[in-house]
Amino acid sequence: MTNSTAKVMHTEGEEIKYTICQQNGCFTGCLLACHVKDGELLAIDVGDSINADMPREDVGETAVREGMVQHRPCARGRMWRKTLYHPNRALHPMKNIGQKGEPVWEQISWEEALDTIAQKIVETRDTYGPYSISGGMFFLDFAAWAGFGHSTWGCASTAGHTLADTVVVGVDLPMPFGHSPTPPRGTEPPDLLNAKLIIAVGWNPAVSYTADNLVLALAKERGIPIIIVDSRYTSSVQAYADQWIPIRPGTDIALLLAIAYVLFKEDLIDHAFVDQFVEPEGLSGWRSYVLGETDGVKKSPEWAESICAIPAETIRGLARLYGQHHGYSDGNACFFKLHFAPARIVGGENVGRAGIYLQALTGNIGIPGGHYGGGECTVPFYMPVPMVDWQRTPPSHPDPMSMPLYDARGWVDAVLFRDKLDSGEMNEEEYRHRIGSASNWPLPNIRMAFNQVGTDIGTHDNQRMWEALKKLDFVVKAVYHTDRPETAYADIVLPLADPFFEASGDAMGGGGFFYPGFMSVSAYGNYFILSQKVIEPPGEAKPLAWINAQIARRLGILDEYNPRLADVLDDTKAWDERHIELQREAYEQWRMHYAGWAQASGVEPVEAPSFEEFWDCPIFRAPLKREPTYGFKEQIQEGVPFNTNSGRIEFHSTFLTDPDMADKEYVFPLTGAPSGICFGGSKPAVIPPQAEYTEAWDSPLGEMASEYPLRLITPHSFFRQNTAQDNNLWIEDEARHALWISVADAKERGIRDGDLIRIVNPQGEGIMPAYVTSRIGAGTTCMVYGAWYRAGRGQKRTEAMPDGIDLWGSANNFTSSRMYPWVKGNLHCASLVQVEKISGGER
Amino acid sequence: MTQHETTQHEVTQHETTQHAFFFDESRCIDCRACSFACRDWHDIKPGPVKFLRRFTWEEGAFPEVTMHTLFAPCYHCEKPACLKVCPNGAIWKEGRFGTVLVDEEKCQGCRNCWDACPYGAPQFASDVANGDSSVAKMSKCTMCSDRLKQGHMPTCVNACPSRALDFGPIEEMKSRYGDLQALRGMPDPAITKPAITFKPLAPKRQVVPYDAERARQLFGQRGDKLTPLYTDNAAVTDIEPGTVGKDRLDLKSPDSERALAATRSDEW
Repeated sequence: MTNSTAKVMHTEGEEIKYTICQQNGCFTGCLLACHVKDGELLAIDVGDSINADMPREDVGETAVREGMVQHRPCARGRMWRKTLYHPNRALHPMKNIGQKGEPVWEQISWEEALDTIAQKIVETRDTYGPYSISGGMFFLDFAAWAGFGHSTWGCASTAGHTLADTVVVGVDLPMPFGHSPTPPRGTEPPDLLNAKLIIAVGWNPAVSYTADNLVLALAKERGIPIIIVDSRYTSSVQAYADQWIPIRPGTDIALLLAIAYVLFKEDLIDHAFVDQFVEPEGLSGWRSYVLGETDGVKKSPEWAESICAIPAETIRGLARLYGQHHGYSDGNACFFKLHFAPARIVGGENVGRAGIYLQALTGNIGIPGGHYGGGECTVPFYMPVPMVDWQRTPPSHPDPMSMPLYDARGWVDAVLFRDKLDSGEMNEEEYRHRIGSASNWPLPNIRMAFNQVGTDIGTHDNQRMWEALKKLDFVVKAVYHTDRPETAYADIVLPLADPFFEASGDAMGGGGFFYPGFMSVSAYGNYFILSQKVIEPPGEAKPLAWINAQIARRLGILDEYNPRLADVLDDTKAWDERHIELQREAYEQWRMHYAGWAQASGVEPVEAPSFEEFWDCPIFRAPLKREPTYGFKEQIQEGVPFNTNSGRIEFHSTFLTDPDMADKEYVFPLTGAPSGICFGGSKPAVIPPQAEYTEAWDSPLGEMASEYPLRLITPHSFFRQNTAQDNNLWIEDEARHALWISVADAKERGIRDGDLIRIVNPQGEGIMPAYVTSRIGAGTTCMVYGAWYRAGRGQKRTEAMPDGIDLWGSANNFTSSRMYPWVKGNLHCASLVQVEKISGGER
Repeated sequence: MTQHETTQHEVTQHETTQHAFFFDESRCIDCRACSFACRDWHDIKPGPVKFLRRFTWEEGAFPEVTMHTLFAPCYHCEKPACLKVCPNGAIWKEGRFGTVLVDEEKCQGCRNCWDACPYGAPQFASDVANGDSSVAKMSKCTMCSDRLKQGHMPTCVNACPSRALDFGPIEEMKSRYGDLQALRGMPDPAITKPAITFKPLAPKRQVVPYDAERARQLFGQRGDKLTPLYTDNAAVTDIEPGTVGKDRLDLKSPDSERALAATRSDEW
C-alpha cells in the first residue's frame, strides 16, 4: 500500500488538476490535488508528488533536511470547496443605487461597469491629479501606464519589529524583494535541529508559517528543550513546548530586560561574540540602563515580575539556562525567537530591539541553530523561478509601489481630514503629519478607491474606515462574496474569480504563475508550483488580470501595459490557452538556465522535467543539498559588515538620537538604500535610541486599564488566512468564534462558557459568545483575528459604531488607528476592552 | 465507490487483515486538516454529521493547564458493539480490511447502534429518530473503503500536517507504536477491541523553575495604580462545573447540538 504510484481516484471519469494554496500573509505554498469531473471540483487532496501514501513520512532526517517532504495543507487548504461553492458568491457586476453603507443593488453588464470605472478614473485623475485614486496592492497594476497611482503598502513597515531590524541589524524586514539592501536570509526549518535550546516568545507556528511544525515535533522528540513564552496556552505550546511560561500580554519588554539584567549581573555574556560584532559604546550605555545606573531602576527579575507576571525565580532560571548557551563560542546554540505579535503593539520597537540584543549578548546570531532574535526574514531564493516575459513598455508614471503618499494605510485620515485642509482649518504641515506624509512626497487628494477583498477589514478601527469610504466620490470593490462587509460601501461591485482555482495563473497581481516556497518566513526554498485553472468561475466572475486589462483597454494603454494578452481579452478559451503558452515559454526559458543557477547557489542540480512532464503534476522540487540557511551568516562568518553606521550590531542608534524626527527616512548607511520606514512622528523625537521600558497609553497596567481592564489580543486563526474563508459553509460545524476570557475574569462578571457577552472599548462595541478557559491568565482576552464585521439590521448604533455594533467578533473594531508618537503609522494588534454578560436575548 | 455502493457479498474473497489507525496526541495541534479532508472527500454536508470528530478539552487551572485532543473517527472495532444490536442487519464487518460499514438501505434509524457504541461513532443528520418518516439513517466513517480498495491510505491520515496519524494492519501499528488503545477518559478497549492505537500527550516538565501559585498572585496584581483583579488565588483555581465549557471528554452527547458543541475548536 505504501508504494502505490497510481493516483487515488474519487470518481470514475474524473481528472486531477493542481493548484496551490498560498494566501496573502501565509505564503507557505502547499500543493493541492483537485479532483474534477464535468467541470465540478469534487474533492481536494494533499499533493502526492512525493512520499505518496506515507502518513508519517518517516523518510529519515536527510529528507527533512533537504526539504524532500510534502507541504501538506492545513485546514485552510482543505476547506476551499465550501468557500468556492458558496451561495453568496458574487456573480454579476452590480451598481449601488442606494447609499454607501445601506446599498440597493442593481445588476449591470460588465460593459457598463468597466466603462463607468474607466470614465471615473479619467475624470478623477484629470480633476484631482495623479494622487487621487487609492487602490489595492494588485488592483491598480495598470495605473503607471495611465499616469496615476501610488503605494498603498506600508502598514507592516511600521511595526515595532521592523524598526528594530532596521536600526539594530540593518535589515528592512517587509521589503525583502528589491528594496532591502541585504539579501533575505531567513531560517529554513531544518536549522532548528541544530539548536541545543529553543526559546520562543509569542510564536505559534501551529497556526502561522506552518512549515516549521514537522521539524519542531522532531526537535522535541529528539529532546531539544523547548520553552514557549506566550499569553495563551496555544496549540504550539501543547504540542511542542516542554514548558509554557505565560506572560501578561504587552509586557514582554520587562521580561527581556530582566533576562539581560541577569546575563550582565552574572556575566553570562558571550564576550568573544560581543567584542567582535557589537558596537561597544551603545552596549555599554544599555548595560548601564539595564543595571539601573542611569535611571536608578534595576531591571531585575524582581522588578519585572510585577509587570510581566512571570515569577522572578523563573526569569532568573530562564536567563541562567539561556546564558549557558553561547552558540558562537561554545557551539551550544540557542534558537531564541521573538515573533511578530509581541512587537505589534504600542512600544513594540522596544520589544523587537531587545529580542535581538539578547541573541547578540549570548552569541547566538549568525550560527547554525541560532536565530537573530527578531520576527523573521524570508528565506533565500534557492534559484530564480520561471517568470513570464510580459513585454511591457516601461511606463511614464513611476511604479505605484515605489511612490508613497502616506504610511500605514494613512488613506483613511487622508480622506477624513481633507475637508479641514481644504477649508484652512488644518495647514499642510499638520495634515501631512496626521496622515504620515513626508514634506517632499506628493500631497494626496483621495477621491476614489479601487480595492479587492480584504484591503479594508484587515485594518484597525474599522468604523473610521467605513466613514472614509462613504466620503469618497466613487468606490469600486472586487469581491468573491457579496456578504463581505466592505461590499456595502461600494458604488460598483465586481465579481472576482478565485485566483487559485478559477483563473489561469492570476494570483498575487495577475502576473505570477509559478509560486515559490521561499516567499514565506520559515519555509523551504527548494520548490515552486504552477497553479492550474481548476474550474470555471461562477456566473460572470472574472479574474483580476482580465479586469485590469479591460480597464487598460478603455484607457487606451493596453498595448503598452499588457501586449501579450491584448488579443485574447474577449475569448475566455483563447485567454486560458494563451496563459498556458506563456507558462510553457517561461518554464522552458527557466529550464535552459536552471542547472547554472542551481550550481551558482551551491546546490547540485537535478534533472528538470520537460514542460509536459511538469504539467502533469506541476511542482518542481530539488533536494537542498547544503546546510539550511539562517540570518546573518555572512556578517558573523564571512566578515561582511552589518548594514549600520558602525558596521556592527547597534544597541544604540545614532539615527534615533536626532531630536527632530520630522520627515526623517531611514537610509541604510553602507548602501545608501532607503528603508520602508518613514519617521517624522514628532518634534522632539520620543523614540529612545535604545530599547527601554516605557508604559504605553494602552498598557494593561496604566490609567486606561481602570476603565478597560482586559487586554485584548488578536492572533491569527487556524481557519482563516487573514480574513479569507470566514463564511466557509463547513466552518461553523468545526469551530466556534468566541471571545477567550479567563476563569477569574469570567467569574467576576458571572459569565459561563457560551454566554453572550458585550465587548466595548473607545473604538468599538460588539456581541459574541464567551469561551471561558484556563488557557489564559486573568486580565487577558483573545479575539481571533479575521472575522468579518457583521452588523445586524436595526442593531444598536453608537457614536463609535455609527453603522451598528458588531455581531460577529471582528477584531479590528477594537484596535486603534492612533498613530505611534514616533513614526508615521501604526500596527496595533492589541487593545484594552471591558466585557460584560448580556442577560437573555440573542445577537 | 462509497460504502453505499458496496454490497456485503463482493468483499468476501480476501482474507481479513484488521486495519487500524494510529493517533499521536503528542504531535497533534488540533488544526483539523483531517476533519476537513474527511468532509471534503466524503462530501459531508454542513450539519451535525461528522465521520471524523475532533475533541479538544482542558484539564487543570491556570497556569497548570493541559489541553487534550482526540482523533475520533469510527474505530472499526474487532468486536463491534453496534453490529450486534442492529435489528435490521444493516451493519456488517467487511472482510478484507476489517472495516465496519452500514447499509443505508437496510438502516431504519432505530439508533440501537448509537446506544451500543461507547465512542459515539454512528452519526445522524438530525435528531429525528425512530418511527418518523423523515427518520435520520446512520452514517459513519468508512475507513475510506474506496481509497483502500485502490491501494491508498484513508484521506485523514494522509492529510495530517503534523504527521500525527498513521494507518495499516493492526499488528503493524501495535509493533511500531505500542498497544495503548485508550487515552485518558476513554472507554476500556477490552469492551469492543477498537482498531486504533495511541501515543499520549507528552507531559510538560519544568525546564526552569516555575511556581504556579506565585504566578497566579502576580496575574491578579496590577501594579501601584490599579486595583487587583483578585487577591485570593481561589478566583483562578476554584472552577465550578459549567464555567469552563470544554473540561472533559464528552464522546457521547445526547443530541446533535451538544455533539457539535463538544467537537468545535475555539481557535477560529
